[in-house]
Amino acid sequence: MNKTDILEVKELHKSFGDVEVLKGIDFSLKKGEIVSIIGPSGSGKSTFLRCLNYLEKPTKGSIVIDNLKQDAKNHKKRDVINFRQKTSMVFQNYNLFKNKTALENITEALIIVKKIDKRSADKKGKGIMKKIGLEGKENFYPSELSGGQQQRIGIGRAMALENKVILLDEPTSALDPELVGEVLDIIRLLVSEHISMIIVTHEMKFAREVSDRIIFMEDGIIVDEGTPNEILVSPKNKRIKSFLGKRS
Amino acid sequence: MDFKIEAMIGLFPILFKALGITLKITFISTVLSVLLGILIAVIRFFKVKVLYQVTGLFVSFFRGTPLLVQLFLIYYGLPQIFPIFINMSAFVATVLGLSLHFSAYMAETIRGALSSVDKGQIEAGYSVGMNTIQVMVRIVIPQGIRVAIPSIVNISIDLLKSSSLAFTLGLADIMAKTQLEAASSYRFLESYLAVALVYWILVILLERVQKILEIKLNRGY
Repeated sequence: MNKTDILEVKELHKSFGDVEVLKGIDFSLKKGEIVSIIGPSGSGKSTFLRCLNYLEKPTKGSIVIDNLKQDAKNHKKRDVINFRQKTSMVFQNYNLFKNKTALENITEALIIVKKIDKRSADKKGKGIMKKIGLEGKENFYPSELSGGQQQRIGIGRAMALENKVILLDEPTSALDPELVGEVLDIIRLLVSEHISMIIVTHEMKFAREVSDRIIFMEDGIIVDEGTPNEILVSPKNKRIKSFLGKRS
Repeated sequence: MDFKIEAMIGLFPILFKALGITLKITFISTVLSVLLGILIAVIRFFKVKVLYQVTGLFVSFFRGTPLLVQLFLIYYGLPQIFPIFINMSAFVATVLGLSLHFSAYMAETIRGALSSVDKGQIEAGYSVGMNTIQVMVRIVIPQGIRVAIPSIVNISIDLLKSSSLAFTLGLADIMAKTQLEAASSYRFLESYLAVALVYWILVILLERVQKILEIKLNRGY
């Protein structure tokens, strides 16, 4: 593993029953790097991200994040909780805790998992609420907030943990078009803080703007990767061209 | 017409003295049956090996046989094989019987309610580093209980009324007192009507509790 790398994936495979969704992914992420994964539905993008957070257990291969390794072959169950704390996940459907207020959604894991005392956690949580532009909504329940606001809290929850890498799984796909902007603004905020991120997205313009590197996945493999210019502006690969709707 | 309202009214102070026993049985048994119900529901929710089968048998038995039979089995039957139960009081036997019996119903209700909590939140809990117990206690069970509240209160209403079977074990609850009074005064209609009223009022109070709980737990939904 390269010294500047925070994450390294080797030969990652994942099958659901007989269906192989990931067919050997090799990937690495530098500290502070922002990578967007694009590709058609069913290409395994989300599954790949979920493996990194160990919400899916890979069938083969290994993942190293910040020097902590999980190998599918001799996977240790008790390590999973530590391993998960290397990354934070932002979900397509926000997945906020519905029985918790906006602030509690952000502080819950700080108190329960990171064992920070409630007062400091609240202070930190309020700071994040301000950062994501939701000051004053601390005591609102998710159901009382718009989709965009909920997703901002989803991102705030991930930010608060200060884990090494933030994984965003189609963070704007469930939103009304007019709410997409506010969520992208929050992600830009993370970008400006040089937080390592992997974003699965269909927002090509946004991916081009914020990413250091773009990965195109299809059918369980990484088909091509490169700078936003190489992949999105002047792709050489025919398949990427047609995916982006460009004439070859 | 042979109906003496005084006979009925005269019974209330006597019933009032025995009310404590009925309330105590109901309260303790409800709490125990909810707790046991949650435990069984979680085991069945996760399909925990072996325990899943054991709890399946437990639920089937306690739902499948009459409460009265279960009470007799516990109070009169158990001491035969487990001498430790010989000194068991009628109170303990009643609480044990009611708790076990109604936990079977609670378990099924709560299990259904737990399944109604969307999987995404469970994943979110895991993703922020919680373990299974934390996810269940902090996220899933509170939301499941909210959904289950109407059914839980429904079951505790049934439990309250079923506590009247305690008199068969010789416990001096309001039903037992009524029996005694009726037998000595021959005022059957007045006596049983009086006790019916008391149960009814208690149930109405329980329904009130349900309303308050629902308002409290429904914040945020």
